[in-house]
Amino acid sequence: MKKLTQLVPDVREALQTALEETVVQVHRDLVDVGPWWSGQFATSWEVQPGKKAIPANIDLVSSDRTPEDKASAQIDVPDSPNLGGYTLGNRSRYRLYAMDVLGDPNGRGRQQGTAPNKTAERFWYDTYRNSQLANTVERTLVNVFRRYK
Amino acid sequence: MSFQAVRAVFERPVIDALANLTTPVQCFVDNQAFTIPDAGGEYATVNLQWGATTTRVLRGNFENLRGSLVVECFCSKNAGPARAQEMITPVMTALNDLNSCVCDPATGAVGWVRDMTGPNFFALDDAPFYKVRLSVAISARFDS
Repeated sequence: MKKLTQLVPDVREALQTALEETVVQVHRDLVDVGPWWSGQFATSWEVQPGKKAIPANIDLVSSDRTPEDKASAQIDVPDSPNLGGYTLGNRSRYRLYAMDVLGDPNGRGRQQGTAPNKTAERFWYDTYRNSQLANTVERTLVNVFRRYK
Repeated sequence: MSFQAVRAVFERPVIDALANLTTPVQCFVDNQAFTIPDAGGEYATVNLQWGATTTRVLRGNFENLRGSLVVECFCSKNAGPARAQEMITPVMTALNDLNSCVCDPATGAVGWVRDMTGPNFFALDDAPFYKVRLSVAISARFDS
């Protein structure tokens, strides 16, 4: 049995681990359910410590006429002091189109998930955020805290 | 389980809220063909997607319907945001009111809304419309 004074550092460490593993898992999920044509959008997710605005500053580069095979995308998770949490965002300039918030004004791309050659379900981001994100967070938290007995 | 009955729980308040505006707005649901009106016209769309629909427990899975409702309303561009706000406000109110509703005895379906994201406003580049978008987390139960 640990003393109370020993528990506090343990809880802080567990919380920090949980924050890190959660953001990694959410990123993994987003790459999994999101679109992948050239892979540019899926590899443009970025993690910042604390609450930050992630700028959309990566231009779309020309891509093949057919989608490439989906691969795993890695993400760097920086330190977040004092349990400040993380912000996960996508840096591509066309993120609103990739996330089905808008349709491409040139009639190209996903067209809010109605294009026949789409590589992710319609409104994939809304569906994930509204119905699966909470599960991922809960599952990851439980997994981490089970290791800190 | 009846996805159709549960779908109606969420779509009906949105359709009614828009139809009850002083100037009614026609609302189109999933898999419903329609012609986008010319500039100056107004319309709305509702899309419902299911995400996780069961939860694992010790002795199996139990039904726990969760999904996402996206409401998009379109009105005239270059006319300010007032009309878009007029359209989306009663929709938000109607959806929030679901949380105080009881099960519909006719269908056995009951639904709740959780986090709402938006309304977000966009002046579209590709169409003569100003768009307001609302994304809503939903959960539901179906009592057969």
